[in-house]
Amino acid sequence: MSALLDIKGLHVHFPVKKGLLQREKSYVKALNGIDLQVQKGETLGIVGESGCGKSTLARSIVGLQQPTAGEILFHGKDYADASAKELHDMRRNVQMIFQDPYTSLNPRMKIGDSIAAPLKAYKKTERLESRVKELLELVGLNPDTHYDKLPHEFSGGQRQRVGIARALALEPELLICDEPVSALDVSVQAQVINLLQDLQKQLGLTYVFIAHDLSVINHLADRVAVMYLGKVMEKSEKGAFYTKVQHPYTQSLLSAVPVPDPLLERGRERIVLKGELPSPANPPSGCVFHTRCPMATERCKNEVPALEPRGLSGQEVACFYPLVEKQPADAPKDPLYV
Amino acid sequence: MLQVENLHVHLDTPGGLVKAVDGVSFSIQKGETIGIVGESGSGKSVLAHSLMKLNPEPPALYPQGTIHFEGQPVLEMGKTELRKLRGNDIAMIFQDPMSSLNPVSRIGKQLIEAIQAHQKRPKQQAREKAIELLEDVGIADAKARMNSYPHQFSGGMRQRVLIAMALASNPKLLIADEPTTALDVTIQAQVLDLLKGIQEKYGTAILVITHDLGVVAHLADRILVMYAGKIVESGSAEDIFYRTSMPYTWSLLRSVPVIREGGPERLIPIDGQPPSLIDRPAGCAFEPRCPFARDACRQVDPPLEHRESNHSAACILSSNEFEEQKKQLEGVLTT
Repeated sequence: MSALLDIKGLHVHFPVKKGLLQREKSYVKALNGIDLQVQKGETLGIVGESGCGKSTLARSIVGLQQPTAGEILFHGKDYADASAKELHDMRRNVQMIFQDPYTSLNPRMKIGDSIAAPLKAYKKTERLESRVKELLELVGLNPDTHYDKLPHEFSGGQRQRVGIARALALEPELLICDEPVSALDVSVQAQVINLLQDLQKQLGLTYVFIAHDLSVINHLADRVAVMYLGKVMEKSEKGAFYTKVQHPYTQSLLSAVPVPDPLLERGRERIVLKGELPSPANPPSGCVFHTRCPMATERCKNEVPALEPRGLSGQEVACFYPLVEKQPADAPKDPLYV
Repeated sequence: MLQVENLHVHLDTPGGLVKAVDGVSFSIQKGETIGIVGESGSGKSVLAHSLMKLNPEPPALYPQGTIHFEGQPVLEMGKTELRKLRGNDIAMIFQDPMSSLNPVSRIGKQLIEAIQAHQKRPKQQAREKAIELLEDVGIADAKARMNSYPHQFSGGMRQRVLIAMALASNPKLLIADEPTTALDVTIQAQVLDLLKGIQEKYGTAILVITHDLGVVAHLADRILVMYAGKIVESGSAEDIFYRTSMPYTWSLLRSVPVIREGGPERLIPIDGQPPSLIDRPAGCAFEPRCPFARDACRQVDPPLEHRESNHSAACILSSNEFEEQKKQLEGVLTT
């Protein structure tokens, strides 16, 4: 079965001019060889810290960013080879939900018009108003009272619902969600997460869900890719992510998330990483994580570990020394080791 | 050390009088860590700013209540007294470290300035102290970094600089307003570790304000939960997380995803929105969103009452009644 979305060897580099005469060129390597597949109907979670390239990846998938090298196949068709007409159709099928519902809506446009905009762009103007009302109802807004409102009359959660309705207007197959809940309050965050789950079931949507919040990713995703400095460090299946973590980076990410459980928090051992994310303009040699890795050796400085099945669980991981399944008997309650 | 009694803070806005803090009482003992949890608009930041009388006036008004710091009434202090209090006795760190630093001034200069503002020290001594502080908060190569500008620092390092600045005069109380919200998880872990370390080393009391239940579970000895300008539950971390007695706290805990295998497939969101603080409805402010609400809730605004030892909650249900209701609802939800 071919994947709905197939990303092969994707590189995105941004040129930076340097020097007195702006002649020296160097590159910020935002994405450095990404391979990912997304099957129809699943949720692929992408997690990583700021600067790891996850938003560049999202922009590349919707075609807002030209790849430097590599290809992105949607239904087996490359964006780069597509004719204008094919591209038009591909864009309809891949829609995006943005992080900040405050800046992604035109403040002077009525909610109904914002949702109608993509329909007009694709000349689907038959029954325009009733279609918009359907969409409003689908995302849990009131089709009659909310249609004529302006964005400032809405709360953050409601605005995010509008963003979702707009993304769904053209009945896409694939939705790219770039941090859709991180700007929302916790009580509202749960409403939006549940809505996204319901819509997936109801409409058979496929999600690429990007977030920095591991708990949200864990809750929603069927498979997870962990990114660091423009590379995928580890891929894992749902559930396996938390029991069979193999990459030291994933391990430290997991241990850094504070859990709302005081006794557990006090007893937990944290792996606190030293230092900060290195600059993507000048990434470290060998394994990009070696400068912060607690178990790095000479080999990690010189050789680049490939992303391949390793260790006991056979999950794909880019590390020479993957952690083995760790289940110490003295810490049975720790959710990281359950 | 710090005693807040029935504090009311109102904001006089064109849209009406916002009752941001509506009758809050609590105290902070020496060396303890208190967490204030609440969503945006719950009044937690206004409350924290009031402790140093930092809310801009206007629009802020203090119609009722008192704040005493070591016996001194903060709200009645004049400018010179407040100047002494701020920074010397109580220091604060903010959410966004970039906007709290001067972008065109070197880190070292800003630190020396902060030290000299509170202590009469010759420049050379202040400089040494600044380097020592930077080393204390874990900035590598502190001497050379004194000459850097804020933009040359990452978010986590800037937050460290602000913590160093706050520690310049050994404050007795450190107020941290969403100190890690703008940071990545691995950097957040570093900063939380740092705050804990500081407390052990200097014995500073810390007041952390956050919306992240995980952060308070990690740091706080005692927790205050705020909703619509009031404290709705307070107690030890164990009380709040394991013996929850207020529906709002319970709902908050049920609405966040937790990393745990076999965790819930579905979150239980809190329906609706927090109420407007301009015209607060009669009765309990959480009633419209509460899964346990009954008729009486619309009439009575329950006060914060003692449950057991130091655990208090503002709900008309007794702990036992609530326990029973919870079980019933959880039974329905799991089937």
